[in-house]
Amino acid sequence: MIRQKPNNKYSLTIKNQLSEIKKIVEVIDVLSADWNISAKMNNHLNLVVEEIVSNIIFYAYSDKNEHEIIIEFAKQKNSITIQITDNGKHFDLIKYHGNVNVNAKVEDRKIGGLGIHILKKLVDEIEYKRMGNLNVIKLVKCI
Amino acid sequence: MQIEVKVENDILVIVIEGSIDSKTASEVQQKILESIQDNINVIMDLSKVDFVSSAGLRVLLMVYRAIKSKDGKVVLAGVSEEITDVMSITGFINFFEISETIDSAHKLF
Repeated sequence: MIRQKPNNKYSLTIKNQLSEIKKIVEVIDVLSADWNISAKMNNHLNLVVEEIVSNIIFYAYSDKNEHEIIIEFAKQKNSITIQITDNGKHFDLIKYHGNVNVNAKVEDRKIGGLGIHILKKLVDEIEYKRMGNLNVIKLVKCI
Repeated sequence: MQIEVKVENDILVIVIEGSIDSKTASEVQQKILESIQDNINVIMDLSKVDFVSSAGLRVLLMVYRAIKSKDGKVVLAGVSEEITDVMSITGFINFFEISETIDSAHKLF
């Protein structure tokens, strides 16, 4: 569901399935047009949301049930805030260090940890809260 | 997402169209590794790829390793600014020879 709220906000709720990620791409395209976001910024928004949401889908749930992931976007004067909420297992991505060494030789590069590395490189602020049974990640990206 | 494979001047040219992300990466990787077989020189045409996430970078790394293990060579062609961006922040830009077009990629072999 795409819902445009007043005051420059968009939100959608998706199921914990990879096929749902295309809905996020559609919303980012809509808000990019609405907020006059550059192609580069559009790509960065897609990257950070894809990396977090795919992580949630792959690793957050130990059951095979359907779960909801809520993604909210808000535009401020010079930034965009993205909040992602899931009810998966506790995971504080701020404390996760994937040991990604960008200077490592290709033979030595590890496969894991890339997504969170990209995320941390692309956003200006990251906040994580565990609220009851919810993981709430808030990202701020300056524009 | 679509993949077209052709041989030009003894070089395997893999044309990928669409996104290489968490949903498509495993299929892209499987199709590419199947198509490589005995080929040791590969051009990956990314000019029709609109999005690459970390899952897509892992595919590029797997292809690179598969070709390098046979002493072959991989050249990426038509890499957009957005893909260059994500390859730069992860250091992947240093692993690959990159060419603006398919024609100029052929000249690197």
